[in-house]
Amino acid sequence: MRKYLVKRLLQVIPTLFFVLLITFLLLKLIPGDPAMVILGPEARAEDIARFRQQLGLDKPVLVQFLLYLKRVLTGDLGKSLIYKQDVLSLILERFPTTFVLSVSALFIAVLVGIPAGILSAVKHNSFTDLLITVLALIGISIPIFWFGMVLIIVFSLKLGWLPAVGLGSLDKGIWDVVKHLILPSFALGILSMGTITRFTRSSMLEVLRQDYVRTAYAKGLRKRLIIYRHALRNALVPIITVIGLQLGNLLAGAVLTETVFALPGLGKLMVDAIMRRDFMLVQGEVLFVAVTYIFINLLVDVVYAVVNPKIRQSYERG
Amino acid sequence: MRKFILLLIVTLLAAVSLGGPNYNGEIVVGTDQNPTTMDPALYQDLASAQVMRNVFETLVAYDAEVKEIRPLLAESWEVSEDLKVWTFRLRKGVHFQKGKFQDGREVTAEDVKYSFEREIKISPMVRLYMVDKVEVVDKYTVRITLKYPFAPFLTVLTDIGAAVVPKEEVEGWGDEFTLHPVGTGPFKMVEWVKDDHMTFIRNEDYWGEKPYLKKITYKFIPNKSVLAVALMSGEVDIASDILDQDIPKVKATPNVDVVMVPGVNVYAVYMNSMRGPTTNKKVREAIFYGVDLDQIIKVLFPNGSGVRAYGPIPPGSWAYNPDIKKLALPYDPEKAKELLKEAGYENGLKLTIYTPEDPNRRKAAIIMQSMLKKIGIDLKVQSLEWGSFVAVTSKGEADMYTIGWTWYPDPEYFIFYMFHSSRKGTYGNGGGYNNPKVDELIAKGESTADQQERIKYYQEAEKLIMQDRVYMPLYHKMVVMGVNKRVKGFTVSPDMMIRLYAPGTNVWVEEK
Repeated sequence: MRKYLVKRLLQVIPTLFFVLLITFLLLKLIPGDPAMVILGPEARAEDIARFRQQLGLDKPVLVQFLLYLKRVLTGDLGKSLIYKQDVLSLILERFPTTFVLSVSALFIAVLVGIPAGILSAVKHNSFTDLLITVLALIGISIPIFWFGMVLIIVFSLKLGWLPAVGLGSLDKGIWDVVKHLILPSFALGILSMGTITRFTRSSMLEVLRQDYVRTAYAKGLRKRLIIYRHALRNALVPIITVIGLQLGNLLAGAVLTETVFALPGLGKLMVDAIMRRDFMLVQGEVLFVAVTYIFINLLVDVVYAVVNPKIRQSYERG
Repeated sequence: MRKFILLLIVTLLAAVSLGGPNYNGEIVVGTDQNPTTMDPALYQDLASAQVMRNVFETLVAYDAEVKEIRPLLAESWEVSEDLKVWTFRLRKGVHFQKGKFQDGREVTAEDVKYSFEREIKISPMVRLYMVDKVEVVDKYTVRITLKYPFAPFLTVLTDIGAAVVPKEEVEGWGDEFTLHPVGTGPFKMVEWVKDDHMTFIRNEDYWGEKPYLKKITYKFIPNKSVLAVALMSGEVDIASDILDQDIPKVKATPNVDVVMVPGVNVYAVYMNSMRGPTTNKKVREAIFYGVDLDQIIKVLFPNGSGVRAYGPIPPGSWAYNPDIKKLALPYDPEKAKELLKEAGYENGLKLTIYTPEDPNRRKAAIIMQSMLKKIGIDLKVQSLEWGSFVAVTSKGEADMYTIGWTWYPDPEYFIFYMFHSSRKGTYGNGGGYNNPKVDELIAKGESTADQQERIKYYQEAEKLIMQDRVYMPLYHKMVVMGVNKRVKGFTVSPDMMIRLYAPGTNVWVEEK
């Protein structure tokens, strides 16, 4: 197991190198002079030239990249061009929001999705199954932007139950923050909820068809025991894969949710940075998200090993 | 008798408590743009400038109507005849807010010198670029010498980039000064959760009239429709902008008002003077005759949040010329077709117009497209995201583009930046407009002291520009804000800045 982990960690290095390189080059390809966009239309030619020089934009592209790489290796992600603040500290300020939002969304998605999927599989081809399948499809198809705004109009404006925007404040107690997160987590999680429901359903159906399940029934075991102890355990592996992938999607979908609900997260920071050509911030954020994503994937793989001994063995073998 | 006295007392108490301003108010302002920095020398955007005005002050400042420049940190000033030497006498007894590195000491001429020299040295976009040197004459007198005569200098000094900052705090905090701003202003910043909210409390040691507001919170809500919802539900007391389509909804809400004020802005179609069919004056005139501008305004702004523009100087500027309307060409598609024939484009003409993602400008371009089709012009509409839009248009690659411009009410900031030949290659004059007579008039406007004379020069320039038929004004956007009825004493400013405290303004709120 240890050998496996070490191998995985070493693979991270070339991956991150290419992430950095590709991001760097892509940003260079975007039309428009960053200095012009950042300084605004009223800037004089001298200001723009000076700014470009300060950022090293007058040097050859390869040199710029190598200089940047050198900085990153010392842990310095540079300063944001619009916020004038250290990139890493900006990211760390915003990361908790996106993380909490994504995890809450995932939590809601799993809480509803897995039982719904199981129910649907067990009551295969019944009206319940049809209803759940259709609802899941709706969940997957709904645009987050629109759904978020509908939730705000209904629950905040019309009913006044929940606040419309913002994070709330921990000073007012943990419930204030939770209150602010309910609507955005639901809006963000609806897509994952649908996906997890469908996936759980098909995975369970697959497993329930297996011989060993029929044997268990024949042996006279209680239905609930069969479903949760035997079937679900085996169905879990692909479900965990999907959940892990969903976390990646959530981090991305968080952008739209963060914009609608005015949450100070990473997604919104990234979009603003790209629009305003703050390439230092974009590069730093992409690197950060890549590292997070890789780490989550690794974690998911470890969870597999814990859940399923056969997988643990295959890791140990090679 | 006793009942009567009791009634009288109760009435008096009621009158006192319901009546006038109180010093306990807390207000929440919702804005769709969030500030990026609290350091006056480093800012680029309106959102930052707006909140910095709570903490920092300049030598002089506009009132809330952005009409008059009033003394603020400077009590009085003198200008030399040649408009190059400006001497300011500072108000005595103004103190910095208490900070980590100084205890609330008095502001002196040294601080002005330090602040200005710092701006010139480190600002990515130097606002004081016309300044040659700053000298301390005595403790409360500072003399600024400019590199050349520049009449609009006072306007430049109202920019928050020219605010007075305390050296100890700036150097003590270094890069973190932006997170711990300390100035001379009526409020202190106590909390900034990036992209979420910013909180200010009253500076109890403020030198001027005591601010009524005890606490100000700015909430950053990027989506304007959601911002409108927050206003209607009472979550914010002021909304910085309301989309035209949301106006009826907000108007219908009982506890809020929609306030519209003419803005200091202008949106137009700017044609290319350097290359392409638009270099032919007949083609340009044909376009003017071929577009029904009144119709465009009706479609874009059914709720009145925009008005037709006739020239580059907006009504919000003190140099506005109402007679510029007379130079407008009527909608005459037959005449347009004739002109195109004379120009040799009888069989049609292909042109491209570039717009940013701004929905108003896109719509205007699309309406123009259908109107110009009728006279034989095939207009392609290209909408680009901001950075790309600026790149294409400033390089002069567009036949036409929809330009939006807003700045100080001084006409220099409209006419120079969009029509001076030296601005070719920038977004303001992407089409390379070059009229030596206009350049001359601008130079005269910059170097004349008398405001009335300056107005004449800029208005003359505006006439020439309109007669060249290269710049087709579309509309001026009104500044539209949503204000809760409990907010009193608030005037909406034509430059879109939300001023809760300014010369002549001290906002208060009814207690909830």
